[in-house]
Amino acid sequence: MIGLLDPTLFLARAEAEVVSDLEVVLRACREHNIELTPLREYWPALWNELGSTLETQLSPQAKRTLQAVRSAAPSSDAHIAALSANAGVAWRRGFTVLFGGPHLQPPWTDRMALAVIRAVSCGKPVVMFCRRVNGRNLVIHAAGNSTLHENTRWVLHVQPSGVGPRQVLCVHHARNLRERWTSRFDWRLPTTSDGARYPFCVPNQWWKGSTTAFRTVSSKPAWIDAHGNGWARPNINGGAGYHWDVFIQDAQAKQAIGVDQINVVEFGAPHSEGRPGHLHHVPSAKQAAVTDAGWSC
Amino acid sequence: MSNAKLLAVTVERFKSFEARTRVELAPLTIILGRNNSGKSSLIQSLLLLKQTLSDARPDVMFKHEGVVEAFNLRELTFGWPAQAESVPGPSIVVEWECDVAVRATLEQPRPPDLANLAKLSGVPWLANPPERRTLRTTMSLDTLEVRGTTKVGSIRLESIEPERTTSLVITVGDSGSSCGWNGQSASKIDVDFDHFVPYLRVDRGELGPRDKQRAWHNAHLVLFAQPLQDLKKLLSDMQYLGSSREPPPSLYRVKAAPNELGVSGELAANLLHRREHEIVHYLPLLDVSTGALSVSHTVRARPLVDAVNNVMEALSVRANVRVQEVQEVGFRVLFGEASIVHVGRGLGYLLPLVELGLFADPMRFTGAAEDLSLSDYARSCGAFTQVALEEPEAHLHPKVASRLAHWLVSLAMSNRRMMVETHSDHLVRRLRGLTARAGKGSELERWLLENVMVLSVQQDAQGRSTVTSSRLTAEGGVSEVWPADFMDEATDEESAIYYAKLDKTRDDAVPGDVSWNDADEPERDDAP
Repeated sequence: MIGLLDPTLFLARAEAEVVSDLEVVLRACREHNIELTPLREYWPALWNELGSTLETQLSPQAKRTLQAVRSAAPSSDAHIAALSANAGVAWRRGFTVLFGGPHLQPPWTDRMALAVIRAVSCGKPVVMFCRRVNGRNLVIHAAGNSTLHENTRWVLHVQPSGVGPRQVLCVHHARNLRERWTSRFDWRLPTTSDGARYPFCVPNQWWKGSTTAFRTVSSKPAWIDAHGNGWARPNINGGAGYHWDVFIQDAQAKQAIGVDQINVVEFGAPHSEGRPGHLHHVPSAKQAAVTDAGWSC
Repeated sequence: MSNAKLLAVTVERFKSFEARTRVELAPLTIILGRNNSGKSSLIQSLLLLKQTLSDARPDVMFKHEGVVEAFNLRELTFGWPAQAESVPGPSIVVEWECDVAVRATLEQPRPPDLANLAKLSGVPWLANPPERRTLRTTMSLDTLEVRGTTKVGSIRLESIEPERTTSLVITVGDSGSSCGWNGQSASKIDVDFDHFVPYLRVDRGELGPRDKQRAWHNAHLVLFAQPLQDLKKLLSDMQYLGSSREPPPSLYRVKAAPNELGVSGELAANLLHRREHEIVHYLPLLDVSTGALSVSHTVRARPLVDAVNNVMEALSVRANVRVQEVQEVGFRVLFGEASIVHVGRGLGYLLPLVELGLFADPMRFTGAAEDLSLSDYARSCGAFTQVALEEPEAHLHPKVASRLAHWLVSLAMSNRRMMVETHSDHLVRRLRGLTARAGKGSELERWLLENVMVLSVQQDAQGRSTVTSSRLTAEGGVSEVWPADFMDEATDEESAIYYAKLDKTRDDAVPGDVSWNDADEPERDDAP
């Protein structure tokens, strides 16, 4: 698999954030055998224009992470065929949103489109490591003591010359590569692969814009699963609640479980909080009613 | 069997250290800093005490001739003060720990009234003395120069316990010494000195059995007399190897077996010659050759020459060191078939270093050639050897310099307490690498986190040195201060090379044009 890097990963900001974002890249590359191919369409400019400046602003420890990203790339892109004069087609909207500004200068849109087309042309799967920036590819919905982080750009569309149309997944977290749907939905949603008793059942064709991903449920912004259940994340001490408020919509499920709202442990919670996708806590008033029946996808 | 070990050293007004500066000494203490930052001074403070103890005249209380050489005390004093009637000199404080045979001490020559002893000495646990007790002691030497003569003005001993500290202060005057116990004058206690080590005497005929000064003297036998003997031995046995080496002769003259290797390792060949077949104990180097870190729990007992070759090989130097007798003339040290004179300089530097680690075995040249478990070895040793190394990486290939980290860890795990002053980012990086690679929560990881101390010495524009102590972190970092211009020089240069390469190979003419499609993005049926 080929990984491409969003240039905004290399823009100056809080050092901890830089390190955290780059560590996502490094971890994903290790775990999923992803090659950060130094495609000449964008790689030299990435380091010359952005990486070198960022490096001067980082502490010695943080520099190590940046240097590790650079070292993770092979020394050459010669193993990927160069593009022909007519490289192919790119759908403008996605590239403009991600690389067109206000964060980046105009050449980056063309550079990234060419890099994506060239990477896709070689036939290997390709992912774009993206940084989430509020107002760019992220919208934050907050209401009813819950917050939902909507990812607005999870795929890019290109059609290299002589090859059919291709989609390139935009990932912002290592889990996006194991559970690709989390590139659109929240990566903390527990699902069947986590052994969840109450899994977030991924809607069919989750990647299509026409598929509803979230709506307001009980006055809270909530992710909507295949059963129509709403999953809202409560604002508890900056996310330290470690659970989802799940609003059950299906009448049969309500009857089986005994209540219409449960608290389910999120993926990534500490072990002490319980297993992902299991009941996190049951308010004492509801304890008599809850059957812990679970559901399947 | 006192398991005595140095825990910390504090200096004040000593060379570039103006302010009182205390540094803890771990089993493996790495000292980093720029040239002339004050790194060596920390080791020198201990060497001053060692060289004082080695003087044949016991009335020499502070000797500044020897490994640490100074024309006068003021030369060792911060700010090089001008000559005057009386000039305060450096203060050096050592802190150490040892197991003391409490009950046996109090039973000689006649057991005191323990309740009275505990009450008058202010040390409650002496009322019920245990067989043995681990004591933590400090000795503070305050020096001064009076009319051009170096003196020790006072010696303060403290026995430190969580609940209380018991102090014994000895003031050294021209007409004799006086002492005080916990701030009270002890006029009937006399003091003799063996260098800076005080010996307290009382005339028991003059003091009744319940006299407080008699109680102080008895308490001193437990709290200070034994620990001071241990300190004397620790400092006398301390091994030091500087960073320079003398050019080796092609033929060595036979000498008696040395007790040290010499500050330049000049006696290493003699030691190898005289002790070639005698047993030394060492823990094999940590092995990373298989990818995973493996730590041996078996201490090897091998003849010195075999041990030297084993360690050399583990350091990735295949040398086959041996001694060749030249009848009635002397002996030669050969690496394979080549004399030490004709091999690379690095080998001549490495040999004393390897030998020193082996020689620092507290059980050296004793016992059978039987391997021991690490715990049995520690139990049998009952002692630690303090070792100080300056720039052990000198003249070594980066790979060997990295492997030195393995050797230092193995030594520090097996009853050697190492102080290492270094400029080698390879060595320090490998130490960090070992910590990062050690399994999460593993015994090795715990050991490295608890037992490696990194001292970063800085000097300000006014020439004042300070020290920041850090531990390694499980991720391979350094907890407090990252010595930026030390470990990052190499990687920063790699970055500079990389960006320069990009500049030189810049090719703006990337082939290919993209055609932009402004239509809505397709809703494809296949998942991305």
